[in-house]
Amino acid sequence: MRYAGAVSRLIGELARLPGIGSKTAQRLAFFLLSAPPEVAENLAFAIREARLQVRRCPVCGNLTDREPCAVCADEAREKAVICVVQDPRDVAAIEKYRGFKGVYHVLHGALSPLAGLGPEELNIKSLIARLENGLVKEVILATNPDVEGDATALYLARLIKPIGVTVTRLAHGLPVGAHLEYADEITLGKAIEGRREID
Amino acid sequence: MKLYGVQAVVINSRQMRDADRVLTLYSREKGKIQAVAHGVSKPTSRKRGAVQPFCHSEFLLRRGRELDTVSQCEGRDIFPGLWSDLDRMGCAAQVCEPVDGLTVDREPNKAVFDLLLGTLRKLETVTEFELTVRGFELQLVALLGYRPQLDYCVNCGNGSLNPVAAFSAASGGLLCKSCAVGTDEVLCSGETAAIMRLLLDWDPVKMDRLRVSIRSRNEMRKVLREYLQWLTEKRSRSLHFLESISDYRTPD
Repeated sequence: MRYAGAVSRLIGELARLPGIGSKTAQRLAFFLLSAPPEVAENLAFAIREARLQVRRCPVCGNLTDREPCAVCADEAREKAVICVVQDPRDVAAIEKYRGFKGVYHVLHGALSPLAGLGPEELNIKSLIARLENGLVKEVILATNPDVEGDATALYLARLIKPIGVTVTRLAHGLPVGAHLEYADEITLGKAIEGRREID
Repeated sequence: MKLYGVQAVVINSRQMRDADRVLTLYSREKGKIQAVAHGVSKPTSRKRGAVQPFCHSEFLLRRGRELDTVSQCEGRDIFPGLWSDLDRMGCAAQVCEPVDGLTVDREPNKAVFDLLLGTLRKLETVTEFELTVRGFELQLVALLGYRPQLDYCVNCGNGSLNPVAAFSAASGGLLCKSCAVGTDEVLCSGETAAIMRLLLDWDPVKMDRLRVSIRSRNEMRKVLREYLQWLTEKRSRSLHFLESISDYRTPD
C-alpha cells in the first residue's frame, strides 16, 4: 500500500537505519504518528542534538559531546596505560567492567587483508603521537579476536615496540560459564597456549 | 534434502547485521558457495572458530532461496601460523582473493580446491611465502584456463629470437623487444619469464630452494597484479593491504 508523501518519507528514512526493514519502519512510523506529539518531537530533538554535539575526542578519538572526553579529562585516570579498541562501543563494554583505570584510544575500524583496509584509514597517527611524549608505559591492544583484530594488533605491535612502550594483548580463552565440550578449536588452542599457573 | 555437507575453505567473510557474517566458501564438492553464518560474532557461538577467514572446515549447510545458511561446522585446519604473522596473513588473503574473483558459484574444481588448501598449508611454514603466492597465482590461472603464454611472443610468435621485454595482460603473454616498443605494458625480463615458467609446475614444498633476485620478484609481482586485475576486472585489495602496511609511515 502507498502512503501519503510525509508518511512515505518517514518510512523511507527509518528503513535506512541498520537492522530496520520496511515492515519495521512502517510499524515505527505509525507508532510515532499515533503517539502524543511530544514523543516524536523529543526523538527528533534528541537525534538533532546528538548529531550536532557529538564529535570525536581530539585525544582518544572516542565519541564525545565535550573536548576532551570525560575519560581523557579525568585526572584520576592512569594516563600511562592506553587501551586501544576498534569501536566506541568497545569503550562502553570495557567501562562496564569497572576495573580498568587507564585511558582509551579508539581506532574506528580494523585492518582487513581481505577488504583491503590499510592503516591510513584508521586513527593510528594520533596514537603514535600520544606515545611519543614518553609518559605512556603500556599499550593494551583490545581489538577483536578475529582476523581483522589480530591483523591490527600485529601491525600496531610492530609499530609501537620500537618506541620502547610495553605492548600487551587481551587474553584469549573460554568464556565464563561455558562448557569445555562446546568450545571451538581456535578458542581451545588459544586457551591452552595462554594457560596460567594457579596461585 | 535441504541440508548438505561440504568440506570448504573460507575465502571471504563480511559483516551482516550486528553478529552475522556472510561467508564465501570454496568447497571441494560444490565449488564457490555464499552462506550466512548467524550469530558468529557473539562469544557464545559454537561456530565462530570454524568460520574465520582461511579456515578449512566441514560445513553442514541449509539451502536457502538466495543464500544458504550454516547449520553446523567443525574446523579441520585452522592455520594458527597464518594468524600470528601479519605478512603471512596478507599472503593468505592474496591466495583467497583470486579464487573468489576468478571462479563462479557452484562450479566445483577439485584441483583448484587442492591447490588452495595446499598453498594455505605451505604458507604456514614456508619461509619463501612471496614466491609461494606467485606460484599459486600462476598455477591457479593455468587451472582455470588462463595460462599465460610464456614461451614465445604473443604478437609475432618469434619470442625465442628476440629478448623478452614486456608482459601484455590483455594478450595474455610475453612480448618481444620489437613488439613491446611504444606500448606501456609491464616490464618483464628474460630471467623473470624463466622463473614464471618454472613456478607454473614447481612444487610449493621446494619453494625455499629457489633463489630469485629482488628485480625479478618485483617484476613478477607487477606482471601478476596486472594479469589478475585484467582477468577479475578488479584491483587487488589484499595486495593494496600488503603494500599499505609496508609503506605506511608514522608522522615525523
